[in-house]
Amino acid sequence: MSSPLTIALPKGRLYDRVQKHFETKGIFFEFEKRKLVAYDREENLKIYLVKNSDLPTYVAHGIAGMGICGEDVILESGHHFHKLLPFSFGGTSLSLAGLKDFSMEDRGGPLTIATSYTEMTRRYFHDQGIPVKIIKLNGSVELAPVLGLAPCIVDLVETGSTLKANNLEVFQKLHDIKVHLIANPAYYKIHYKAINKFIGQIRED
Amino acid sequence: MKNNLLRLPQGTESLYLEETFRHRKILRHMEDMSEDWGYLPVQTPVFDFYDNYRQLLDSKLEEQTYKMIDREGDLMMLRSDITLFLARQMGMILSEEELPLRVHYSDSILRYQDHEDISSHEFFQAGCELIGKPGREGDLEILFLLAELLRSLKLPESRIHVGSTELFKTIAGSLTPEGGTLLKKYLQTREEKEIRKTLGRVYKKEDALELSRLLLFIGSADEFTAKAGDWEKLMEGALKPALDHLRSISSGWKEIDGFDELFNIDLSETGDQAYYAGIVFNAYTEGSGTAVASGGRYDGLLDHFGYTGGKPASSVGFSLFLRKLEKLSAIDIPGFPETETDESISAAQKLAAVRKGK
Repeated sequence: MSSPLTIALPKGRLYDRVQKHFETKGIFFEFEKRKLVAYDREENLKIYLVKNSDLPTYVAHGIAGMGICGEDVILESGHHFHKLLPFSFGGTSLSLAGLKDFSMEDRGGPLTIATSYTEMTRRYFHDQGIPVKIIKLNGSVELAPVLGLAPCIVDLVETGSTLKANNLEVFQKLHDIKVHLIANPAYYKIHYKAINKFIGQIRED
Repeated sequence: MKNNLLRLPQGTESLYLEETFRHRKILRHMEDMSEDWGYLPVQTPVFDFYDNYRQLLDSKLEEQTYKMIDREGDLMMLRSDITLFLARQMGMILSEEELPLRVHYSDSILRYQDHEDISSHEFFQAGCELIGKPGREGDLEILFLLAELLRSLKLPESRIHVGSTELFKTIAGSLTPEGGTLLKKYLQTREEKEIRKTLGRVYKKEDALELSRLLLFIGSADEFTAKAGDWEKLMEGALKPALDHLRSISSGWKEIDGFDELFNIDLSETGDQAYYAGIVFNAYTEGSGTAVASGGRYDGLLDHFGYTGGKPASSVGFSLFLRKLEKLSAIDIPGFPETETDESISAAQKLAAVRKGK
């Protein structure tokens, strides 16, 4: 029997969606309590459960040959992967938001932005020719304009309800963020036949 | 002041005792094998004038190259790619009577690396170049030598993926320069839909679909031959010469016992250096997150560095990232000297023992 393909899945909300989707395609797996490595029932896949933001690191170093994660995590990591299959679930957008009465035109100097997505934010605004000052935060970014740390934030927006609750509004969308099946390019080149078969199995109808 | 004794600059590495012993033995094995194939050793300088290479560096290599200013105020670069330094050396001294020429090299290279990029480990390159032998036989000689080297190192499952820069350039040639850059980007990420969309800007829908299939193709010699017949009709036959060449070299490796499983035609391989023109290839090994060897044919590089002979100095070669391979190789390296020695033996006794041993 050939050895199983290795794949990293992110902990959290996306994991549940991936597990549910895989089940509809006949791939069943579960992690024993506190365990972070599991096999699917057929033992075609060896699955690692990792922190979302660490997933690209495991795939880039070839520890996991494949992974499923959002484009935000891929872009922020700076690593290059094969993006083999986009999924319709888990999609969101990276947006610029701020207090309702803020005006981009009246800012007088570089735009100060609080965000967890420093790389993507810097790249986006520099591509637009807009100088930005970035304050890195690790979570609850919506607080920054409310408490006066920065007038704007860049964050993932799904429904916009958190923004609304904090009296913030979206000024512009920077990127649509899709969830992808990614692969380490060298791993794909060795296992392309098995991976292509796997893609055929998990492709959405 | 930071304690620099405990810090290691990015892009450097030290080897210790047994690791060095293994590294040197494997290197010697590679050098011996290259010399058995008629390749002679060459040594390149550690640094050179940056201006000589400026237009040949792609943006990634440019970013990774360390530069410095010498006492006369000239901008210098440290050796970040041996092929380039070798081409300059050869371009200056080679005459057409000496062609074809076979050389091998092994040396450290200096590249800046991001702190996260530990998977690259490209501090040491060893490789071979066949200068002045254009066409099928030159390509096959280099591919076979690389294949034999990989086999002799007893690696886990390995593959050499061979592509063509000509195919990619011909297809991308109809696009705008920005379109060509986008196409390359999407090919590297293998985003089929985006590739089709980019090609769809200038090609008919059904041609864009077929060309995207072509660019994403990976398969054996037989699988490639089965498709190539249809692909050569695309773009009014413009792809036929490059397809014919790939068909011809893949039939070459098919004849050799065991090579058909080792090689693949992979049309998504387009070469990461700007100077490639012809076949390009990468070797992959189970257990390494990046390619363990890469190479290809380059035509005008020696002319760029002053070669003026009438015979073309078209060259083909490969670089092995030996440090990655050493970790994966199952080759047995016997004879690592005992670390515990009898210190009561005098120097004269030791000399006598070693002489006797010989």
